[in-house]
Amino acid sequence: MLGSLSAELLKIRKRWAIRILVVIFVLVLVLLSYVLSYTIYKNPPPRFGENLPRGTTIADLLSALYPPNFHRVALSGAGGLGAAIAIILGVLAAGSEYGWGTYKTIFTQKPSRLTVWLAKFAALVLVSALLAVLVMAAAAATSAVLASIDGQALSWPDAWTVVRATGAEWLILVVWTGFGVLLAVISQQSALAIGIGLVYVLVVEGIIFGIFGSNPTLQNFEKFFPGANVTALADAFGPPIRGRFGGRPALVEPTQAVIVLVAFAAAFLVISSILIVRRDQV
Amino acid sequence: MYGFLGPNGAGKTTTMRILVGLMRPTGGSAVVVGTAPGHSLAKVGSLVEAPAFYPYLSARDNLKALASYAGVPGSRIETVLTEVDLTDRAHDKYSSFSLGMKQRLGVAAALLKDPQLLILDEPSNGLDPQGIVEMRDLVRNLGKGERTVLLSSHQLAEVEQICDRVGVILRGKMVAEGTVAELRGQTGLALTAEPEQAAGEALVRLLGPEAVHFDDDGFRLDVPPGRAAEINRALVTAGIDVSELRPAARSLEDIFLQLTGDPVATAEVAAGPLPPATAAGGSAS
Repeated sequence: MLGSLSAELLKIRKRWAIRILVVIFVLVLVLLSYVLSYTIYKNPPPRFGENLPRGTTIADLLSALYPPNFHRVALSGAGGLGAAIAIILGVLAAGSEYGWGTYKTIFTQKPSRLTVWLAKFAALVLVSALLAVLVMAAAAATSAVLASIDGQALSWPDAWTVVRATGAEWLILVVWTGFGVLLAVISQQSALAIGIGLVYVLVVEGIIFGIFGSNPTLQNFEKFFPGANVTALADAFGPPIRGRFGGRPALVEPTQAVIVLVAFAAAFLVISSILIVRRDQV
Repeated sequence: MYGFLGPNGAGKTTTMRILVGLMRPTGGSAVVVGTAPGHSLAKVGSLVEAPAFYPYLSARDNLKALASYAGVPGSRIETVLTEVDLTDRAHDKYSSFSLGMKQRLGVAAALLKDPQLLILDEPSNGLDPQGIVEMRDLVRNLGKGERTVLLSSHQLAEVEQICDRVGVILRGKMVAEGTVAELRGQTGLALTAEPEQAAGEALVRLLGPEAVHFDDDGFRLDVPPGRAAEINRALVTAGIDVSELRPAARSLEDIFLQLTGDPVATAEVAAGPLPPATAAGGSAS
């Protein structure tokens, strides 16, 4: 198992596509969540303040970008951008091997298919952990820079909160990565899997639940989908901005969200393992 | 060294996939190094169909990854790179390799575990003549010692030269198996004589009609080569000019084409020993 894990990590570490994916994730978080927001808040367009939620000021928006809120800002991107990046990561790791025909090469080495597959999943869990730490670190560093520019004192959330927030980010990324892996195994290719994954995140989670999410019947279904539980887990740390922009209250409790997300990750692992072990490799 | 022959679609690659555990058989069973297929992978090295590696990794990193999977010490990587003559290109990415280099890396990967059984599926496929010669020399060396090599190939001359035993598969069934000499069967005689009509009549009187065949290349006689002097004397005595009389052995290609192109012959072979060659143009009488 350790040998297979080492091989999987080597393959991930040396792959430029994955390095670029990580850089994109961090850059987009920094540019969109921090640089763009900061620029707008510092130079607000006319009547900008009138469109804010009641009780929310531009000063509140700016304070959300400072160090006490960095973990919240980082988590706010886990459902959308994080989901897309993690799905692509999972698909790249599992789907490309179909295109290259390399499953037949690695499945004819010494370990069983299940061992190889568990090692691949374990490697992706480790990469997701690294990604979660990087995102948190980038958010912390950027928030510190902005606070310094504005002459604000550097006060940080307590360490336990940061650890829990990083763990939440990790779990969310693992779920979406596992989803990407499963899609790649089902479709036995990368392009279709990425397409289905992104369409799911945008259409099902984004549009259907986003637009019709106020319907109580639909909410009963939504509680069992990854998106609602990701949102609930992220919201458990509080919204970065007081008043929220059109956000909906969490549909489930944080503990239930963790249980559902762990169940999703386990289900993605089990189903993909069964398919990998039972299917002929041609 | 075992040669595994068969026309396209006969089931060679499918058989090899089953032997290395990539596919499950729909029926029957197989034993590989004493166990069910896929259970002794530590003792089996394989190159099934085209070699498949990670294009963004170098040759050495590809082997490093495979060595990690297989639990093979890193020192084996340099050994196999040397064995397939890829040491100088070990740092280059796999995507930059020529087909011949890719095939050689495939063989190197198959050798990483120093396997008891080496399964090679058409390793010369797509190579230029120089590459084919190099691959043949490489494969020939791999079969020395205690290792068993199962070689599937379309290069019949190659199989004939380097394999100890040969199996021929057709539509998923083994239709002939044995040493190359056994498959060739009894060596006969080839004869050219004038006039042909009189020569044919004399030969049938002397050897019987079942032993005399005639085609565009002359007569083919299914008799031991030791009877050449007797046949020559009889023909000359009968006033027939003998211009050529020599031992005639069938090539593996003749046997392959006979086995895979003639359903009747195939059925006979499947039921018993390899039949003697039959003339394409009928027999003299």
